Amino acid sequence: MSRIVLRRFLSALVLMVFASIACFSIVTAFPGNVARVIAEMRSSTVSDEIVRQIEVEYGLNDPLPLRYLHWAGRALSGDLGESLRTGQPVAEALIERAPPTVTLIIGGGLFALVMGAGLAFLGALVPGSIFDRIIHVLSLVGASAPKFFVAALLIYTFGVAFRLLPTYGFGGPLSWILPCISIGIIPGSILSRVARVALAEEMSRQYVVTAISKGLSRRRILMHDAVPNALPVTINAFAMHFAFMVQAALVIEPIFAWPGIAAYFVEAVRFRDYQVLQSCLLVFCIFFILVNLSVDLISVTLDPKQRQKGLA
Amino acid sequence: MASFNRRDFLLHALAAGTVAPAIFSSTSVFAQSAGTGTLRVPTAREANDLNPWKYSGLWVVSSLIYDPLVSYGPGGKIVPALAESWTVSDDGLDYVFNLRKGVVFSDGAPFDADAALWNLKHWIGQSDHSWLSVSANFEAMRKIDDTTIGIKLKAAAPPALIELTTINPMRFLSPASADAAGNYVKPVGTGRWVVVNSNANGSELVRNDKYWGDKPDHDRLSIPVIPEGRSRVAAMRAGELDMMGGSFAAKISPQEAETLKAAPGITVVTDMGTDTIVLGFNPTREILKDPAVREAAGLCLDRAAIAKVVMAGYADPTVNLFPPSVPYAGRREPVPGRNVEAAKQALEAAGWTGDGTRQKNGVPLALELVISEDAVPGSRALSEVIQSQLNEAGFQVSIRQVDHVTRHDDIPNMKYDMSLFITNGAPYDPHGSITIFFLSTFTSGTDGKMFVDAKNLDPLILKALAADEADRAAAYQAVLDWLRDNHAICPIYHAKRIWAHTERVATFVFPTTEYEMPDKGIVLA
Repeated sequence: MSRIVLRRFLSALVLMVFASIACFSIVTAFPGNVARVIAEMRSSTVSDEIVRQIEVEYGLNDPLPLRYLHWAGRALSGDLGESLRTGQPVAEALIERAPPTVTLIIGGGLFALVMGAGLAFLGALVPGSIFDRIIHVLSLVGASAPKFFVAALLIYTFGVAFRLLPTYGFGGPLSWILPCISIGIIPGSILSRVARVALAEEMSRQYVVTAISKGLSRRRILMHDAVPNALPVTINAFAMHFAFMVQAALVIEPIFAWPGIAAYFVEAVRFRDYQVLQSCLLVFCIFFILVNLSVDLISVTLDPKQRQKGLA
Repeated sequence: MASFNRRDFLLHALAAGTVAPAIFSSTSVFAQSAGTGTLRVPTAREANDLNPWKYSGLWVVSSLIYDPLVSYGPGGKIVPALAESWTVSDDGLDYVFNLRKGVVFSDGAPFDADAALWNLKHWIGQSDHSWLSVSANFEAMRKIDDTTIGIKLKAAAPPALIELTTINPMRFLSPASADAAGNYVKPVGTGRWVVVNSNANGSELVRNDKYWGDKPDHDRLSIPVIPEGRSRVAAMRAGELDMMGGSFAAKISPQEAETLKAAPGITVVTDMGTDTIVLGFNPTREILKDPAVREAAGLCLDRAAIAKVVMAGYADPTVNLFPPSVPYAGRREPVPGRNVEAAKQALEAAGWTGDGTRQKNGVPLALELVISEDAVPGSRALSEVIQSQLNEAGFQVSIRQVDHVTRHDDIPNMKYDMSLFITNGAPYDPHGSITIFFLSTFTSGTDGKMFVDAKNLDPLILKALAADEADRAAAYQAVLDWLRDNHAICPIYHAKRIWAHTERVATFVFPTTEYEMPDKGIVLA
């Protein structure tokens, strides 16, 4: 087990190095001269002379590998530079902006998990019934709807029409409901289909027929046998969508005016705030890698077959 | 691993997931902060650095905290603010300001000659601020007595008083709020509002009970940051905001204005704007050096249709560079209708011939229109209309949409054929746009140039900028006439100022410029 964990950690570290190179290269390859934007923050009009001074000051003319090494060296010591737009240290801003993003992703993940697992379980309890078919249709609709459309629909229904929930802002639990549903509904719908299929597969196995012939109820078999066996597949599917919630947050945070890391990234794109862009991309990549690492370890923990085979 | 089974793991994971959001929860929530005395008005981006001597903060928020020496009144009239009165010497070199007595900053520090000079020293005469004529021509300043200061210029700068009405870097910070080295620490001014906090969520302000003039009707001002226009509209309709709008606070698009107008309990108010959307030509491009090409482009445009359809009626079609709300805006020119035949004839006469895309000496009449939604909101739709209308006369217009940074690199480096520009508006015009966009010797930086002609246009501009009040209108008119006669630019429309408010706002008053937040005269029901 420890060998598997060590191997996974090492491959995650290598991935992070590649991710950091990719983040740096992508951002520096964008067209346009950021020196002009930096200069714009200092003076209302910008001369070529000031632009050249800034290029020297920020090392913007240095060779790319040298710039990467400087940036990576500072990043390793926790210095992610300063926002070109606000002057605030990026690390400080990321810490300030972490709570909305963490809340959104965990809340959305929980919603997706509860919705997906719940609908799949209820469907599996009465397979082929009207109820099961309704759930099937709802899952397909949920999985196909664009995130911004879901968010707009929820805002209009619960914020504008019935005025039950706030339409924007990151505050108390009431303000979390609509964003978390908006971000969680698509992965929840997909998860419900994956889990439903996994449960159906389990319920068609020979041991289930044997259990039913012994007089055990369908509910008991589902709870005690089918659900645990369907878990590894379900968790893998959930983890993949959980990691992609960072991408969804780029849409959801600005819509609900949540000042999270994803909204910070979107603002930085507009103003080519490259220190912020590189740092946010790195955070997203690390999150993605860590989620995948966690899933691998969870799968190993949950699935004795994987442990025995040493697979992961 | 044996002691940590599957069930334990799932239970722990569930517990962690439930508790984490609560741990990270924040207490600030604008959505629920509607007190009876709180006015809620959003901005599209955070206030950022409210240092009055820098340019990175959001000016509409700064305008609530800090006061200027003099203010920009209706029609560009200069009215007293922290200076009760002022005199300017006949040669335009000496300015004396008599400061309002008894004014204190919101932290209790006195606003006097020492505080005023301490503030001026932070920007006047420095290279970062040389785009302001009062700074570029600064020679010396002095304290005359506790409530009187003098500023001496090296050369006359007629726009100086108007420049002093602007937001940054003109406004006054409390010296007591700075650090020992005199650097900005926190935003404390003499204005009507005091900042309680300002961050990525937004800004919370309370009434300045030490304010020297009429105090606000309400005691709190909530300024949440809502980046998305549609989200702001939804929040207005949900009753979570009291008013929104403005070019620099939270712009309402014409389509959003129509949505808000149809919503119960919301009033959309408009006012004549002070800026103009202009189709500008790159004067260094060979094709565009031909006045016939520029004239034909102007003849192809159906300005009335653009104002009616693209802007949903929230704009006035124009061929004037400045709207009448700007001082010295010049004579009103009649807006011609679209005349494609006349455009074709002009091109034929200039040698641009052929079916489809016209050619002259083997060179196709192909032009690239560079646009940026950040620079001119709504420019995508507008550019497509321009493209279609110009193509009918034999132009081949391609559109290149770029982001903020690329535009600010391409425009000053002249990497465009045509682009959409927006004039500065009050209080910077007419001198601001005339200087930045047309004076060849002025470094415009990221704003770029609409048209330059060092030999013929520059002397007219310099004469207008130096003209005294008696000659100023005629001098500016000469510049505007030259631009018109040479088809140098192609003004399209003056966008209207749009604000919307709910029934909680009993009285709404437009601020004198779009750089300020509506504040004075706002009364809650």
